[in-house]
Amino acid sequence: MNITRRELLTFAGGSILGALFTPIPWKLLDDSAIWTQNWSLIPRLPRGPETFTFTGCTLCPGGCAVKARRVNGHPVSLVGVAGHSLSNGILCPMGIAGHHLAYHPLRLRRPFAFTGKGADSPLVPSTLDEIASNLAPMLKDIRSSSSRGTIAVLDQRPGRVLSDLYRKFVSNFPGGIYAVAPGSEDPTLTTLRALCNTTEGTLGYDLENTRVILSFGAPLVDGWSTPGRTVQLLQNRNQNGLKLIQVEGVQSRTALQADTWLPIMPGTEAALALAIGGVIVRQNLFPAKIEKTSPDFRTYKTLVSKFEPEDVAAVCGIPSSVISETAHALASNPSVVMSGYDPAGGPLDNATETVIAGLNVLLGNIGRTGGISLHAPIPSPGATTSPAVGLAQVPDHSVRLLLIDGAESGHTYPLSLLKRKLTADGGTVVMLSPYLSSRSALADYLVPSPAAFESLEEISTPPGARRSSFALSLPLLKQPDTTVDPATLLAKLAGASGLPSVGAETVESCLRQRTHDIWLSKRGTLATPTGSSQTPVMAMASEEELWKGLSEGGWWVDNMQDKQVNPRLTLLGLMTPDRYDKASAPALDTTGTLKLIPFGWRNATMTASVAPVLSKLFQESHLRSLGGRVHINPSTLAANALSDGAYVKISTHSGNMTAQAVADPSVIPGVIHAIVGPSPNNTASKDRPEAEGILGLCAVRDDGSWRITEATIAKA
Amino acid sequence: MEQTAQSKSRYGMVIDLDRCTGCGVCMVACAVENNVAPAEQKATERTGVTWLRVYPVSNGEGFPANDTVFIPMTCQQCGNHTPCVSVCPQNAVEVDPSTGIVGQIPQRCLGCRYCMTACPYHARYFDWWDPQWPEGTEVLLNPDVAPRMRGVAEKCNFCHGRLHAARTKAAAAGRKEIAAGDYVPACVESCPSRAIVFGDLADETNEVSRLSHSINTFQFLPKLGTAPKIFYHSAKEWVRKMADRAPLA
Amino acid sequence: MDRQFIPRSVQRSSFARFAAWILPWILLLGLGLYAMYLCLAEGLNQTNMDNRFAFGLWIYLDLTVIALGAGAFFTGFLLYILRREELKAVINSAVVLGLICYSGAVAVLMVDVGQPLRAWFTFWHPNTHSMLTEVTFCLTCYLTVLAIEYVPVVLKNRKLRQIPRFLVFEFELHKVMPVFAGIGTFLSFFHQGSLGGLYGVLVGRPFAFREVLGIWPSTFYLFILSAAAVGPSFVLLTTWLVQKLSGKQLVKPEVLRFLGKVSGWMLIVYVLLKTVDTLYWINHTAPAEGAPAYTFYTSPGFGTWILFAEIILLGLLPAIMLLSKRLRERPAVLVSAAFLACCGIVMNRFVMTIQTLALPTLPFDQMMSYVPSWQEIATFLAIVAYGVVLYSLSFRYMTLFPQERDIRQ
Repeated sequence: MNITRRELLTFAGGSILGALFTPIPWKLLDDSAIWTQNWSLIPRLPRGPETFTFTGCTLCPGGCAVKARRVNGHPVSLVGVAGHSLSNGILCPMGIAGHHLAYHPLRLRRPFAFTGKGADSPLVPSTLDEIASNLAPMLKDIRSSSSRGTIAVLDQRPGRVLSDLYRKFVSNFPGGIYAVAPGSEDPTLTTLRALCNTTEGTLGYDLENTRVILSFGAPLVDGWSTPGRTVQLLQNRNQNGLKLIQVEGVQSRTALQADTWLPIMPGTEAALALAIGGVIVRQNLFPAKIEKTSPDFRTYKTLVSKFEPEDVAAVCGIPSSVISETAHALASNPSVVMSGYDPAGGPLDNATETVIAGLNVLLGNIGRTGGISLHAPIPSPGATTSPAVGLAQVPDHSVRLLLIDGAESGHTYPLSLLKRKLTADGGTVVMLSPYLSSRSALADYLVPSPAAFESLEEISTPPGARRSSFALSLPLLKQPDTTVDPATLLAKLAGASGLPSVGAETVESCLRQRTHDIWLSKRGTLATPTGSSQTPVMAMASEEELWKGLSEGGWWVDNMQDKQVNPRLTLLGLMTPDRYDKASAPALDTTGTLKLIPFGWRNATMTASVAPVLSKLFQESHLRSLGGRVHINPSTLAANALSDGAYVKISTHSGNMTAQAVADPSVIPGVIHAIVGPSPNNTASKDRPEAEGILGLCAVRDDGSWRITEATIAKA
Repeated sequence: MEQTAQSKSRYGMVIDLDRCTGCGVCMVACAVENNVAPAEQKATERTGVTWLRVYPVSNGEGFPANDTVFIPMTCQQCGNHTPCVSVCPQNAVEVDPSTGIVGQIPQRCLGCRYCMTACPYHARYFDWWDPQWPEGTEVLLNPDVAPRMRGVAEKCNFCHGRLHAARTKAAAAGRKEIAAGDYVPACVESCPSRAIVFGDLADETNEVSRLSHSINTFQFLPKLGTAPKIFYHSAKEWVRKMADRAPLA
Repeated sequence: MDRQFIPRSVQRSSFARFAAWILPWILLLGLGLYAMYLCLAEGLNQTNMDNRFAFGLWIYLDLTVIALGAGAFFTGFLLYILRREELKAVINSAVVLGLICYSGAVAVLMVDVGQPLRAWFTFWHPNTHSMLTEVTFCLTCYLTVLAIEYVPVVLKNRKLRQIPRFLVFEFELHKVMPVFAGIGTFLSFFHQGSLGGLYGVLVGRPFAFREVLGIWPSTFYLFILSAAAVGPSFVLLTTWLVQKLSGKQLVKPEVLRFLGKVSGWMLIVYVLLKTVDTLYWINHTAPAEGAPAYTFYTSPGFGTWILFAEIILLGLLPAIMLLSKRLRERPAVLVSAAFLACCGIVMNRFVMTIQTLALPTLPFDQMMSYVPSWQEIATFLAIVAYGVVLYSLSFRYMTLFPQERDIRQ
């Protein structure tokens, strides 16, 4: 048969026309539309039975109670627990997405060794046994002699049972150091402990009965201790009559919520505290007994006499009348004075912290209702262990082997603070961490610890709490086999050092031990998560009943009477008056040397510390600034011939870096308010530690503070 | 679902701007609840998806007279001439007459973005990328809310999954009306400052209804006549004046 | 080599020369198709549009080319309905231009929407209140009409005429052409209007929102008028351009002058009504929405000069130039006026699309800015290239200008 071209074309045309009258094209059309609703790039939703678990958040020491909704056993959402007495049903933005952290792209999935130091050295997969055997000769050497440096453990969340285990471990080594990281304790309370000259008991704020809080930059509504506590107190101000006076050089979220904001020139906080102290002393606004009980009252009186409000006003930018009013407000009400540990800016310098804490002594706030209480710590066996020292107090170049625990305080610090403690050869650093972070750059060995909500953990007394408390953070996610229980690592290292067991080999057994101790003490009550019922430990039939209650998300809170405070309180502690410059006005410099002040948000100082969905705040909106941006007052920007959004080069003695400037009228002129935060856009951080950024430019003082660094800016 | 005439609700919110601290919990809680994926690497504040967005707004003064207010801006659930509903060519936006909630049907949306140009509150977001969660996170998604595919518009629907759950609960208990406490959107539930009051505006005994009529309560862009069901409250005069000002005026 | 396809008694360049002309355009088309592929495969993140600038270059240029493509319907209307037989000289060219403009716009729209596979939902779940539904319906139908109108032009090709059945079909088609012209006019009226209504109904955008007259906002009528005014100008302009490029006279000068005159009359009516509309909007509509009109022009990029340029410089001025017989007779003035009129519509569609989106609506917002990505530009250039290729092929192988062979070259 012969087919002509024309017949072929006619056939084809006819077929096409005919096909339109069959269901085929319409079915295809329909299927393609259905396909767009189900294509493989849309994830499948989990299906299964719905359950609820009460647990606690361990992202920071705040320890908020969490109610997790679970589907098929997996947590799908977290909320605060309404009715919970400590956290009041409130979670912070990081906590509310805490269950996503285990799947963070920067999650460490196995132990690693670095082949060299520094951010650019490659990661080499390793095993726990390999790490232990590599470290064994050094551990044994340190045990026999500390001449070439000793061992130190850095705990970023002291007060846990695990902390006791670390202390016990290092006590087996000559000169072994148990150090606590900056930001893991409340700076004012730490300073007050020194002024009180006591190591007994735990200090806490009785905020519930306070009427005036004078806060030197404490982020009370923005990540301070347990958020539910302060946020609720401040929101209920028209009922409880609380007044907040916030002293800060930037109009922070807390300053915005404060009754009075004192916009202070950073670095002049000590002058302000002394001026307030001066008003109190001159006008006899302090309790009479202080004059007798404080051995250095005369010295203090002489010192504050040099800080007349009129002079100080010119220095710090707060009118003298306001200084005087503040002093009166503090003296005529139950009050507390506290300083703020900025999550990235760290504490104020020691001298300033001392006079801020000293105001509490002067006002007779210690041991007073609505002031600062001394309460009993969580029951513990109290074995002889190494004392805790602040990281800044660890002698420089003394640490040959440093072990860093993986629990975070939510705060960060410059790596140089750690580096200078290591021996001249750089020492060896073993770091427990769930993630690869900027801090990993310091490690020789990275050991993956469980992520939040992945393992049984403890929630001990939050910093600044009124009473000791204890709860369990129950796992919501399956812990990957490759992660290492910190207690197991310690047991391995003990073995490698030739030590007998240091005690528990898992965190769970540590927690059993603490439950046992609480049970033996018969102190406190156990509340159900929602606060629906409370059972005194004394009334419990067995230790198992206490453990069961805790395992169901229950919360133990101590009921011990407050301890008596040693009446011989000093106002200045070890500080000598010559540490305080006479109030004199430095010229406000906005074109030459500026003050570089790092700023962070608790639990959000590194890319790895926030769940990816936090991009909603940092990247997909302007609510929080991305890490690496610098906020500068528009007038200061203009004085330096810079504009909003310009890239600027920031130079300090430690180096320089380029950052994007943001014109921000809420920042005091003359200051570079540098954001230390996550940068989800940083692709380099996926396979090597994130760069340290602005903290690397900060000058660390001898007292371990790095709040203010002199810096210059220029167009990049 | 059949609705009887007397079950007509008008869900709305009153947001107390004086209480809002700008912490951002609401935005994160919203994203987790509604399966909004984390940002793609290149996404910005103009291409990201935030059903609820908190805008920091300054009073424009210099230091230290500067003041900042945080304005949570979500779909305003316009009750009159709902701008996005009439423009959608294929009925992918609908107002539920029984709740007054403006709903988006992403499966029907062709992604023309006409609704986005129509919305004066910029409360609508387009999926410029395929939604992507870090590996393994799929098991953590909320089973009640279907994730959206790329190329469609999405927005706040007052946590439709929660409304559905509350209705199911009411039906199981043999009730016609849902109990007020059973239906609380994620942002309202998570707000640490309790700055958002949510409920049925049509129910005059309700706190939200009372607050919506209280002094110092206002709406954004009331002159457009769209009758938004999100009300704001502030005792600060400059905030109220700002809300009443024309842009660029 | 392609001699047998070229219409009789017209002079066309050698195939090699034609290929050299067409090749760069095909390359550009290829680049544009690659950009389109990127947008379809990777998603619209390939563009620089965002949640605030949800419409961008594409919608703006779609509106512009559709307005310019109005020459097809308006010429058809004048020829078949009003029986202005002199327009036979350009009708084929106008139809090809219309087809290019409309099919190009639809192609870009298919890339512009996030889920092109669901585009047919508009027919399945139509929202009769939406201007976009009206646009979609009319656009699809009118594109079909244009295709039908294009068929006789193709069938008149020398080679295809050899098939008797085609010849008969073409003859029959020709008889019903006034019907299609009528349908086309009707459809065009609606979608040109609906495209204007698209912005006029935006109650949330005080800059775009206009009062309703009858059932449509005023922009509905203004868009019809402006498209009808500029369509003939665009036919005039392209005819002049093709004459320049081919070095041949293709139509008699009076045809172009007639097109100019029509354009001028339409334009003057449009400018008048646009002025009334603008005054009413400034004094009533915009303030009632809480946005005093001056606030729209505070940004230096979008000052009041825009109003002057759009209405006076690119509206009234070309209208006067086209209406004055003395001026119209001078080819340079005629072409310049047509060019200005076309610029006017380009400007108007820019203002309606881009300025509408750039202006903030929330009191605390600032002006928005947007720069299209290369994928957006390349996609649009692909349409231009496609247009040039299709027009060149039509010009070479079909009879676009029947007067060409009568005019002594």
